[in-house]
Amino acid sequence: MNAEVELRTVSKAYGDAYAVDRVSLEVARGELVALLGPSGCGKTTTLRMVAGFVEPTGGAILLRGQDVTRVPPHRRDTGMVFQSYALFPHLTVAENIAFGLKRRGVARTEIRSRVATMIGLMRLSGLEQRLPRQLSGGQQQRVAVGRALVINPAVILLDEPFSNLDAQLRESTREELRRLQQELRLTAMFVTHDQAEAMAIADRIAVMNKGRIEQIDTPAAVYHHPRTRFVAGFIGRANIFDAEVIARDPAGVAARGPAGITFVLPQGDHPGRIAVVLRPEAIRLAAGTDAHGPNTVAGVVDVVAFYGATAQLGVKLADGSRLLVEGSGDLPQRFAPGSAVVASWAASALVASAA
Amino acid sequence: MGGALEPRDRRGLILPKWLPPALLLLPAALVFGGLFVWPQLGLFATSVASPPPIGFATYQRFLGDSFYVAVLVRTLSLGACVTLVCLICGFPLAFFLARLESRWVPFLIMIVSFPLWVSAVVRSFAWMVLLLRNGLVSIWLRDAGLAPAGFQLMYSFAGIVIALAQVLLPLMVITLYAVIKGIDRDLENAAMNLGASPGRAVCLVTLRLARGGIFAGSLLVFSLSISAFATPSLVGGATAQLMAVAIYEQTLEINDWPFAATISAILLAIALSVALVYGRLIDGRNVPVR
Repeated sequence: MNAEVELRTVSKAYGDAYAVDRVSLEVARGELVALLGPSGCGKTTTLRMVAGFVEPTGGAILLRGQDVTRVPPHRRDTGMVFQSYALFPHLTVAENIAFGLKRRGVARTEIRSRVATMIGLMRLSGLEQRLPRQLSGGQQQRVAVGRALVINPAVILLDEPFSNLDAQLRESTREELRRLQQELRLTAMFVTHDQAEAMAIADRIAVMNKGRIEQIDTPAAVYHHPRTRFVAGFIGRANIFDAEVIARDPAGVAARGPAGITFVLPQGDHPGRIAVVLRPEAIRLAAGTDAHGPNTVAGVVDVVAFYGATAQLGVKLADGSRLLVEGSGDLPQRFAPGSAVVASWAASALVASAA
Repeated sequence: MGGALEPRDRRGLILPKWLPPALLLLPAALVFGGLFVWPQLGLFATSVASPPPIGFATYQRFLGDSFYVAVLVRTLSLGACVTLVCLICGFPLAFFLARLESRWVPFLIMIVSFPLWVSAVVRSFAWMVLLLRNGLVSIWLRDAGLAPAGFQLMYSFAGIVIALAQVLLPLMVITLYAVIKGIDRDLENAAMNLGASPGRAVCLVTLRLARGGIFAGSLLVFSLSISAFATPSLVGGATAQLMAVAIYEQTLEINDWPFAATISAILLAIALSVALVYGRLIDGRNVPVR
């Protein structure tokens, strides 16, 4: 087993309510796994159980193959970056970074050199003697990361590490963190509610909802093959239709959806009622009123949003629902609001998930 | 134009910047000035007027008399002991309450403040019952072999410390509770995550950041214990040779007001300097909470 972190059916119940419900997960060496989900989905509780701040009510947590489920936090080999950073306000930048090394009884000269290396790595040179409150948000974040990294933990745990930064800094900081993680081959778990953030830097994403992992896969797989309706709706934008399977043959599966749409999906093992997921960028538009055959629908453009390189259109269907279409920036010129269009898509663009 | 009216209206409302805070401070300043500062100045004037018009005979008498110097030392050590006991008992309790996530916390704090609800006389009589030779505490201590026959905590320095610490503990706990509550719990988690045991995490982080509260609580307890009168006299009896008792004797029994004024001036001066030195000691690096 080369998993650095392993969660085996880990649960946390408060009375009858499960904050985390039988979560199983493995993080391989050098891998960055994002726990993604809306607030209250149990992602932070899961991370805190790995750190040891929250004791699971069921299951087991293994770090480098050792069962640490009942091991207190200070004897676990994890490095946590807190959402609030939790920098010690009474200690300088250098003292904050040296804190973990001192607790481990590392020799003073070695502490000095390792702190200096980390200060350089985190681009904090010249700030060694500052107190946390004398630093900017981005600098504080780097101190928090440096403090966790310097002890060489088995796994780095990041709890919404970018949420306290402004939008521009957030993007550059997360790229920097990803580069660092790949260069140092760090094993990391990372909690976020921002799907774009998870997509951008994670090797794998565990999408959580109501205490459970709905799907754990690479960013491309959770985007293109969402296994549940929740995952489809949470990751990126999606058109999701309730549909009923009406025919199956070796070539594919036909299902009837709303507004008279007939979906033809690639062959698969689908139950009777399914949720059909169609990404907005997979839809082609043409002027016209007649929709013939499967995987097409007619409608009227009613909302147009222009983003520069791309644009989004809302197409109102016969039953009043709206189809979201995304395409290149010239879309608004070709289809003004009120124009009649026929939307079509390839069968391969459709994904059926559990209804 | 409606706009033309606006500046004039606003100008009518503009007040000098210092006025609102001054007005807000006025009631407290009047009460404090009239009922404390002014009489205190009068008292000080009395203490430095023997022989008249300006003389320091009473100060010479106090400092030259080993009895009174001993009274002063005893009073200060009582203050130090009570403060220490309150800190040692109060910090863990305040920490526990501050970190307890329960809807019972307000109720528990109310229970902690119970000693303050009872009058000093009633409370002291209760301690008498416990601490006298035939009292429960004395009997337990003797039965446990921790004390010789005939032992009693009543009329002893330790008895006074226990009785005062009991009533002043709530002040320490409530002060510390408020401060610890304001310290991000994740700071302790971060310390543990970096390898500090829970106890060390509290020592290295919480205790350091709670300095302000430790200082405020200690000062409160110290100043109230060195000026306490009823509890020490009732529990300590003849052993309660303390500053407050001496002031009482000089004022009401001996009727030597200049000397009583001197004792209280010395007590005040020492309390203030202790506060200043202690403040310096504990506030090594000025750290705001959070």
